[in-house]
Amino acid sequence: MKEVKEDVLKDIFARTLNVEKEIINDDFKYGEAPNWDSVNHMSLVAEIENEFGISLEMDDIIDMSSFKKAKEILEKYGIKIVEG
Amino acid sequence: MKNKVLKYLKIIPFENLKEEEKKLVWRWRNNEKIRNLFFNPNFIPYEDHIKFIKSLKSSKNKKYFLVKYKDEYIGVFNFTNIKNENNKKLAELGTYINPENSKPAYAYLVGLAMKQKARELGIAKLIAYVFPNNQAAIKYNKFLGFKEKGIIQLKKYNKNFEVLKMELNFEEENLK
Repeated sequence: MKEVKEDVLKDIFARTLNVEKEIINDDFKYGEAPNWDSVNHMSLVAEIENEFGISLEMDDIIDMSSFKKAKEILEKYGIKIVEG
Repeated sequence: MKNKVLKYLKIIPFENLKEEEKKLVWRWRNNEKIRNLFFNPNFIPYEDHIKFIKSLKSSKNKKYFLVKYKDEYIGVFNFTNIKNENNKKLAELGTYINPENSKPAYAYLVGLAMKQKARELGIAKLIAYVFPNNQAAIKYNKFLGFKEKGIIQLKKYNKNFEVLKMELNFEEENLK
């Protein structure tokens, strides 16, 4: 399992959704969080896939509805998000 | 990913809807979030909805579809005013996503289904009319490949509307 600092994932969210990194936490959710709409969701998926060199299954793309859920899904692909 | 996903997408013509699916679509269409995006925002009585679905069987210029991904109903799209112009098939597009349980990527999946069906039907160009303040729809249409063609006046249901005309040319799409 590859360990990646949470900050790296926060950077991807902040950059893709054009939001301040400070507002991203486990409660950051699709449809509620600023700018996280259906179009930006697909950009977010593409950025995550590029950054970690993985290809997400469609079921996971649909389930990735919060920052917390994104961390859980990444674990399935061998990427453990750790504090820092 | 596209091909892997397409096998799980079911595109159901409205004429083939089961009773519970007819009710689901009727509920969605009358949902306030959806109604307000239509040129006709009035509540549609169930009898009218059923009559409309029956009328589609004999209609050649409009087609409506419900989209299912695995076990989830995810949205609706339709082609209306289907016509031939200079030997090319044109149609107007209408689409909406499940307003009761919208999940990330549903809009993307409905877009995939819509494009697949348009290609199957030999549609060369799709036209979408969007209210200029509906930024979400404009952004989504651009994501699908639509291009802005300018603000125009459009008459629907005996009313004039100011709308943004957008077009998706499949011949250009296929060159990409």
